[in-house]
This record gives sequence, C-alpha cells and structure tokens, in this order.
Amino acid sequence: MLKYAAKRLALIFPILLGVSMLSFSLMHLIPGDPAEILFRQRGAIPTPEAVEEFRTELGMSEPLPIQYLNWLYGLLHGDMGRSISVNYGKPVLSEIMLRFPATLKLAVSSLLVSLLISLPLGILSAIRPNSLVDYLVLAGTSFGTAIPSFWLGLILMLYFSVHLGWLPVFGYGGIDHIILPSATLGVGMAALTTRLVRSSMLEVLRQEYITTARAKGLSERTIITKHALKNALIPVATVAGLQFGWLLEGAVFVEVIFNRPGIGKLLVDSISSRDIPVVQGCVLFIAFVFVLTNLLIDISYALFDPRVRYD
Amino acid sequence: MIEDAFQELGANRSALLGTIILATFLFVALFAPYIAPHDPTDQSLKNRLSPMSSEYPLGTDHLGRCILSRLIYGARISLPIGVIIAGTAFVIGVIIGTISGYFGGIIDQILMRLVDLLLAFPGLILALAIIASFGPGLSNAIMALVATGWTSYARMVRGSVLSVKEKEFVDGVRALGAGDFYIVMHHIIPNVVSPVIPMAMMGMGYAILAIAGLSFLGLGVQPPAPEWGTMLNDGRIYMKSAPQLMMLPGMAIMLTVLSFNLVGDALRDAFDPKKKDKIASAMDVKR
Repeated sequence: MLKYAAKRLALIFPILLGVSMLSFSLMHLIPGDPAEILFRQRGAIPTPEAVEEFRTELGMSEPLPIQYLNWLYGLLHGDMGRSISVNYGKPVLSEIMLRFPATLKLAVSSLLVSLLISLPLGILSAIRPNSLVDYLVLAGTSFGTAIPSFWLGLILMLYFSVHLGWLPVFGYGGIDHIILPSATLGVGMAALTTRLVRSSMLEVLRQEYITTARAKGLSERTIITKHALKNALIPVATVAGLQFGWLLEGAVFVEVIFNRPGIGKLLVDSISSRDIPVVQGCVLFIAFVFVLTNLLIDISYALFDPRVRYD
Repeated sequence: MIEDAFQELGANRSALLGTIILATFLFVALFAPYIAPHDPTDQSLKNRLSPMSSEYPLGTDHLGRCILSRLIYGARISLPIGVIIAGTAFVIGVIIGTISGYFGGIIDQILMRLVDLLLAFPGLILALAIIASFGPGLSNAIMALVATGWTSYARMVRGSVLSVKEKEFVDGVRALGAGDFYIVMHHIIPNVVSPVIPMAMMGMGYAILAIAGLSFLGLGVQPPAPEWGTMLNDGRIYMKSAPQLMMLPGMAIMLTVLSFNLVGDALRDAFDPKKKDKIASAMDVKR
C-alpha cells in the first residue's frame, strides 16, 4: 500500500513539470513580441529602446530555456510573477490565494448538494428499475446533463432572487450567498452522479451476497444501506476526480454569473484584460489542485478498498 | 420479459425523441433563410424589447432584432461548430490512438505522456488558457476545444487497437503479405471506431455547450452573430423586464445538447456487445 502511494506520488512530478512547461509556454504562444504587447498594455508608446529596456527588466532578453528555469525557480519559491493589468504590481500568488477559498467553498457545497440529490434518487431508481420513478429520474438526468450551468444559474437567480426576493442576487459572504451558486453547480453534477449511483447499485444488487443477505432474512432497508450502498459507492468514488475537474470548470461560469470573487472569475477577468501572468498563475494553480486531488483520490481508493491491489 | 420490453421501448423512445429534435434543428439550420421571418441582424430601434406579435412571433431583443430569426440562425452557427470540433477531435484522436497502439514502443510512450499531460488540466480551463494567449474569437475557440478534446478518443482507440492487433485475423492478413498501412486501414480502424462513434456524438453536444459557454463569457463567437450563448449573455441584463431574451437561447442550447446525448446513448447501447444478442434477435423478428 505504502509502496503504491510512493509510486503514485513519484509519478506526478513529471506531470507537474509538464504542466509548468505548458503553462509557461502559453505566454510565449502569443503572436507577436510579448514584451511589446505588455508594454503597449501599460499605455506606453513602444519605441525600440524602451521595449528593449522593458524586456530586460522582465528578464525576457534571455533565451527561452533560461527564462523557463528562472520562472520555475521563482515558482518553487512561491513567486508566480506580478499582475500587469487591473491589479498592477500585485503578486499573482497572493491574488490567487485571496480568491481560492471562495472557489473551494463553492466546490464543497456543490458536492454536498449533488450527493443530497443523487444518493436518494439513484438508490430509489435502482431498487425499482423500470418503474415510473426510475423513468422520471432517468429523464431528469438526461435534462440535467444537457442544461447549461450558465443558464440554470440565471434561471435560479431570476426566480429566487428577482421574483421571490428570498436570496441575494449576487455577492459573497454569508450562507445565503452560496445557496444559488452551489445549487446551480450541484444540480448539473447530480445528473451525472445519479446515473452512476443507479447503475452501480443495480450491479451490486445482482451479486450473490445480496441474495445471501436476503435469505438470511434481513430487511430490505438493512440490505440496501448496510450491504449494497457501501460497495455501490466505490465506482462513484473513482470518478470523483473527474467530477472535481468538472466542478472547477463549472465554477468559472457560476462565479461570473453570481459575481463571486473566486479563482474562476479571476481567470476570466484576467483573460479579458489580457493579464497573462495572472492567467498563467490561475491555470497552473487549477491544474496543480486538480492533479493533487486526483492523487489523493487514487491513494484513498486503494486504502479503502481492500480488493484493489497495485503492484 | 415484460420489463425487458419496457426497457427496450424506453430506450427506443428516448432515441426517437433525440432523433426528432436533432432532425428538427438540422432542418431549421438548413432552411433558415426560408423559415426566419426577418434578417437576424436587422435592427429596428423603435421596436426594442417588443413583446410577441404577428410581426415578431417571439418579440425583439434590446436592439429590436427578431428573436425567432436569431434563434433559427443560431442553429446554423452551433450545429456546424459542434460537428467541426467533435469531428476534428475524433479524427485526430483516432489517428493518434491508432499510431500509438499499433506501433507501440517509444512513439506510444511519447504520445500517451502527451495525453496524460493534457488530461492533467480540466479541459475547459486549458481551452481558456489557449484562448487567453491567442485571443478571443471563434476560430481560436474552436482550435482550443479541438486541442483539448482529442485526448479521450485517442486513449480509447489505443486500448482497442492493442487488443485487436493481437487477433489471429491480423496475423493472417500479414501472412498474406499485407503491409502495415493496409492492415491499419482495412482491419484495425474498422474494428476500433464503433465504440468511439457514440463518444463523438456526445462530443458534439459537449462542443456546442462549450462554444455557447465561451461565447457567453465573450470569448467565442462575437456579436452581432446570432449565436445562442452570445444571445444569452446579451439577454441577462434584461432578465426582469424581458426574461424570454435569456430563456429561449438557453432552451435551444439545452434541447440541442439533449438530442445529441440521447442519440449518443442509443448508439452506445447499440454497439454494446452485451446487448448485441437482444438487438440481433429483434432484427430476426423484423425479417
């Protein structure tokens, strides 16, 4: 087990290195001279001398591999560069850390919403396959996966905030501010999870140990909650990593719609203002969190499921 | 028995529904100039935000443009974009997955590490990063979604190629003197594409959703083009006074994505070997 964890941990270093290279090269994919573009963005008229001076100031006169190593060195010391636009001069990392809690809260509460919806519905439709309830649940999941989160968010906002006035339209702070955003994301996620819970529950209920449990005279309730559910949740847990990536993507839209100061909104804002260092930082940070989460999920999966053996 | 029949019927029904919706959107997209009552970009400032009328069946937007015509022309933008993105990603994925699986060795290593790297980012986030460096706009958005979209096809195809290339018939064809290219084109690819076709179908739905999302953020299709995501974004300021401005484009996106998903689901079931017997017997009955 420990060996597996160590192996899995060692595997992420090349990935993280690749992630950093890709994020770094983004800055240099820009058509044209990055130094000149950055210079223009500061509202200055680019004379060749001034651009050259600016280039040296940014460390851009070195060859690319050296620039990358310098940047990587900075990165390992927590220096992601500085914002060159709206928050001019502020360190990128502190801008990100300022906003990450909002995104994390959104992700966790959306996950809760999703589980609250998908567990009961998935179980219900699995124990009554091909019933009316099952069809309704399946139809619901079809719509749920097709509904654009940016549309659902606006509909919820229109109904609950504008018409009923129960919840604030947007902003950040108390519990009431997170209800609609997490409902928006949670519903979309629940559509995927419900299907998974249903199919894996169906699979488990066909197993022989369930028949044994029934033969033993256990109540259906005990069978479902004590014997079936635990095993049915394993496949659900394996896709948790993918779903987390899905949450991070969805957070971009939800944060923009509800004006939540999270990392997704920061990313979109910096794309609009062409604040490349912040974009670079956000992308790198999100990928980093995504890779680490997947690592933790993989390791805990091996830890909790004794049948899984990795050699 | 009865339950099975029910299940089949349910599956067929949703496939039928998906096909009908999709066919409707295709029809609308093809014949947009004949169906739409107005030019989708024609502004009529004295008719701004007007309600439904015989002249404007679904009312007008904030610039006095006919909403119905814009929705109709929207299908002309979204459907081809979805097909282009998913189609290109599919072709790239099949080619790379086949090369990787068939030749193996160092080529396989390099290609699969590239896939691992791209999958280390949530797809849309990487697409956003690419758009950030190349600039907003439709062609860059398409490129970004293709660049991040081909990986899952490649992985899947590679896996199938690995198992197919060990089959005896491949040895047989090789013994007959067939070259690598011939074997790949005539014997490997036909045997590995069927499971990825449903994926491509759902990929089209996802691509339409993603382009609408990027356009909603102002990073995809640019105004005044009547694209659904752009319309949704334009309409959200007027959500209180004219909710139809945001409701209708969202509905169009959802129905299109839904139809691709339903058809994709049905195709996946049809290609699923576990269900093959059932379908084969159903076909016998028809004969």
